[in-house]
Amino acid sequence: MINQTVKNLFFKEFASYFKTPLGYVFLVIFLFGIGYLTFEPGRGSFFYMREASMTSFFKYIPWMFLFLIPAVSMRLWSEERKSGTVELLLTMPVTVKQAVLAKFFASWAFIGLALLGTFPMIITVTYLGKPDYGVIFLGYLASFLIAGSLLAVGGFFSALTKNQVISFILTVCVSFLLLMAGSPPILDFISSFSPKYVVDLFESLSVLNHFDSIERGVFSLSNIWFFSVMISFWLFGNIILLDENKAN
Amino acid sequence: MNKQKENYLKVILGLFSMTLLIYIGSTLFKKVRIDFTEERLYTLSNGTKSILNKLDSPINLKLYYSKTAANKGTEGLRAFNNHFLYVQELLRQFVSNSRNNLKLEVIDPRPDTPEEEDAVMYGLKKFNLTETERYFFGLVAENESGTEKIIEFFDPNQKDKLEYELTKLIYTVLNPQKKNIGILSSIDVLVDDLNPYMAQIMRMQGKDVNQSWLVTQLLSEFYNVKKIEKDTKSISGVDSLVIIHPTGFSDDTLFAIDQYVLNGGNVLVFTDPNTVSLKSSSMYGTSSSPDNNFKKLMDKWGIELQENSYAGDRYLSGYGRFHPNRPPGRLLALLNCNEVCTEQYNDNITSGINDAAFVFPGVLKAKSIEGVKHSVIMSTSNKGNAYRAQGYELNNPDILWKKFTEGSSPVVIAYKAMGKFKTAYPNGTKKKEKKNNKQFLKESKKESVVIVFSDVDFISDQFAFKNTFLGASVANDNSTLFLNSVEAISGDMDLMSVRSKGRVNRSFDVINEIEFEAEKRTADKVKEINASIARFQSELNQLGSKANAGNIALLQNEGIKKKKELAKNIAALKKELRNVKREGREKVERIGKFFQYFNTMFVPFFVIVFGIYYNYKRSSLMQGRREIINHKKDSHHTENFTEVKA
Amino acid sequence: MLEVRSLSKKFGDFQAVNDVSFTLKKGEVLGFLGPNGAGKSTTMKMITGFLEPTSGDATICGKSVQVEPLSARKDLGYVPENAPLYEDMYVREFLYFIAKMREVFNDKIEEAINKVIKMCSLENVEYQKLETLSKGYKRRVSLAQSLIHDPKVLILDEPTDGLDPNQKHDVRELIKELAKEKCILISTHILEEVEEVCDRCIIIGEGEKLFEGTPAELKSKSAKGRIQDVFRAITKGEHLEGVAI
Repeated sequence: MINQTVKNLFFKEFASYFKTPLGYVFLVIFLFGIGYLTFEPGRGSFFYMREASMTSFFKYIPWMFLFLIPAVSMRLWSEERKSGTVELLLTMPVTVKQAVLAKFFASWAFIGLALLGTFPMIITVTYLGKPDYGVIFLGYLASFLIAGSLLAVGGFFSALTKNQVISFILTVCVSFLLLMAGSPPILDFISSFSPKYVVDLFESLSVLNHFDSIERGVFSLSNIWFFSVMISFWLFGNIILLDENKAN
Repeated sequence: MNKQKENYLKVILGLFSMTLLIYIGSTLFKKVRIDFTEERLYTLSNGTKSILNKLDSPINLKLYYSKTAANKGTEGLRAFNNHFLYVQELLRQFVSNSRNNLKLEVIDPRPDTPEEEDAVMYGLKKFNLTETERYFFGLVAENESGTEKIIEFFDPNQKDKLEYELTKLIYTVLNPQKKNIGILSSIDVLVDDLNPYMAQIMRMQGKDVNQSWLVTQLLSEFYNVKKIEKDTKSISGVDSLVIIHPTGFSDDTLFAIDQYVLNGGNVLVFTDPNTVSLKSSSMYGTSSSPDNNFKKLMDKWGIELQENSYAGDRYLSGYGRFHPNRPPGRLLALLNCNEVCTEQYNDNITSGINDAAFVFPGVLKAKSIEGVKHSVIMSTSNKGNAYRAQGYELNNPDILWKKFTEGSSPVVIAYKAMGKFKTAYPNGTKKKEKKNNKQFLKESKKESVVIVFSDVDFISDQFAFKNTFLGASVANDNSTLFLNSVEAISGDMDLMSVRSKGRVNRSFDVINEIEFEAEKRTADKVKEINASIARFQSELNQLGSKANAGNIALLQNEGIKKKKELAKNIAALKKELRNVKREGREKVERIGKFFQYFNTMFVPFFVIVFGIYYNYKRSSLMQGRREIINHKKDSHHTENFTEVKA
Repeated sequence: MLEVRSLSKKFGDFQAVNDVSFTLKKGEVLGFLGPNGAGKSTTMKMITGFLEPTSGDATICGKSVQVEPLSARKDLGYVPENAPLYEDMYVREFLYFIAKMREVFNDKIEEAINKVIKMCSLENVEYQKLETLSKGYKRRVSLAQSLIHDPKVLILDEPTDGLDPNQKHDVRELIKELAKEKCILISTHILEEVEEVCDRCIIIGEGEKLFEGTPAELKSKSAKGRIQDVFRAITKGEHLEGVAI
């Protein structure tokens, strides 16, 4: 049973994306951008590959999200704190935890909607060939989960500072680090001064590795574990930070 | 202050515990997974599981992958990372299904370490990336008794056969002893191995070097392949028998085959109404099998190959050149079998086979025989049909196309007969009548399997392999189909059911169809152009024949006029040809553009329209109400205005 | 109805509020006086439960804001300093959202919104976007949002700050009107306001309660009857002529 006020807050937040230009700008940039990148002329292009799969679509999702999600998340708390409405919000019968969750889920739902907006891609592959719908479904699931993780990170940094720009930049940096945690240059760098288990530890933090593994078509408990721990931690941090910083 | 410190401590502790939880979780929960792929890429087949179940002693698997080196390497090498992840994932599945008999160790051999030395010692393929960095991507399987088998290199292009490769590796560690396969052929498919050095020298001297067919070489990797001579008296000591191109066998041999089958031996037969890969045949002559004597045997198996009749299918016809000096085009003789040919029969032999190329495959018919069950293994599609052709017709693709009409039911090119057979020699052979009468069987005691293919060419080097700068490599599924068939008759049904994961065809069907259509129209136009050139030629000849001293000038004039006309004609036709080609290309490009716009503009457009509409609606709603209020205020009715709902 | 027991708040080493206690009964308006930075807002934020006190507690209608914050807040209406609002919403929409959040029953929402709109004279702007409103209207909207669930305790942080004299007058009238049914805590640094609307007043300086009493008592301390002299004397500790503390 979800608290009524949480629901109200969720709907208000969700609707707010459609009452400001930001929501539309996000949707248009995301949908146009991902479509453009997928069809972008070049060797990796969807039409060039002539394969009825959405791999060339999903491979750009994390990178689109890397810049677009912080733009959504930066205003989650920074704006409330800057304008002081956080005082209004948190003196209503709602706890910090509830407020954080409601806002997080509203933004997640918004990103989910943006993902749904890419349905022409499914129509495209269905028309052109015989796609593997199981893999496509997992691709969307992976995209949704990666969106959740990045939003949670963004919420955390949004609670850290009143300045939206700083919140944006910090989120992009940390998200990039998390995405690239399993990538060679970073691992190489870490392995130059730390023992192997630290490298392994770091590698296990890679969002991209988990994204890829789901996107390949196999969904394991460790993936869902990874994303839930990831999201939970950043939300937990968000709650603590907001509690700490709300009055400053 | 305290509180604040506590909170920051909480966040930092949270960060640590998150890292730890994720790390633990990523190792602990890996096993629980759902495979969403259509091909079940990450799920082991029953064959693999049953082989893994037979394990009763530990086998150590060492997966060598130069991860560090690959990461430093180029983008291309990094693509191997993906394949490595797949290999590792699949191996983990093997381990978790092995009741703890398999142990997997992943090794990243760094330069100048014992690990690297081991990798070299095991014989894994080594690629030098830089001065120091070397790249390995292979697997070693060792059991307690020291049997050690390797996969020297995992080729990402062979991804769909990976499970089979791995299972085979384990199978060969389990069963180091090989089965015996007898090969009986009228062609020299198996010759004593010549020293490669000698062969090279002989080739340089321009001599024709007879070498074993690559398929038989491939076969000898898994079996003891034994050659059986064309005139043998009895066949024994082989677990199963492969007969290729049965012609000219002696009566004794035929009798021996007959008896071999009746004794429960399994036979795989490759017949062919036109074996094009045999060079010996004369210009228009065809080399066909079976001969009349062998037909008698096949008759008892209930399978007949029709003479001078071929299986064709417009939609499976391959693309290629019939002669080096002819333009490439669709060839009826080339039958490229994909899953359409096999999926309705669900035979294990063809599981995962979707790219098998046959050349002039024959037409097989089955007749019912008591106690024998016939099942189709492969056929053309429903639209395939049989066509008859002989002699020079076979060398002219256009004639073949003319002879072909679309059919309505599939034409069979591979049959399997299973059951108890009767002898083709109720009276024994003539010569040995007296001696052997008592010993020979007239009817099967045990069930046996006979598999008949209506093509020989598909297992020849020419059509099953391609030359690359690394040597011959598998060109299509032909060799796999051959190996599958051999395995089917040699009884390793477990290993047999593992095969490739299959490649579901995910190409753009719509685009392919357009291109196919365009190609056909292009070919028609080319034909038209050639026809008008030929017509002109003959007209010119006619003119020439009428020529005499009196009208030569006139005729020359006429000739020039005709020539101009022709040139004009051809130019027009060529323009049309270009148009046809362009149309095809443009159609494809148009589809591409359409989908590009569809995917980039369609939804954003609606988003913008919705945004404008929604916000306009909202503000105009509010505006409207403001006006009502103002109006009311103007008419001094502010105090009792009626409420407007929000 | 509102009871504050030795509230204290420390920000690091800085003692923002030190041991402030008072009680407030129904029908009372308590003026919270003090110079800027004296800890008025901090105290109010602690009462609303927005800030956690370092020590002490406040109870609203018998419910502790520490122990059961959510139910305590139900009886509380709060106008924060500077009246922050969700600027991209329309007035009515905003009030609707607050009503929902304040758990006003669905069938009562319309009624409640209309009531507060009338109370705060927002009829002229009810269909305008908040960002287009003047400062005075924003204050009134903020006041309206605090009243929507008909709370028993109202906490107003400088509700008349930045308003023109007419608007100030309106707000004060409204507060007087409301005071009959509720108990109101109002912070201000405008001394006339105290005289006009408050039944009692508290002066705090540097986080400590320096004076508690009626405005009349405060006034009586000055021979000239100048309340600002008294205020200065109390908060600055200066000795002023004719002022006896």
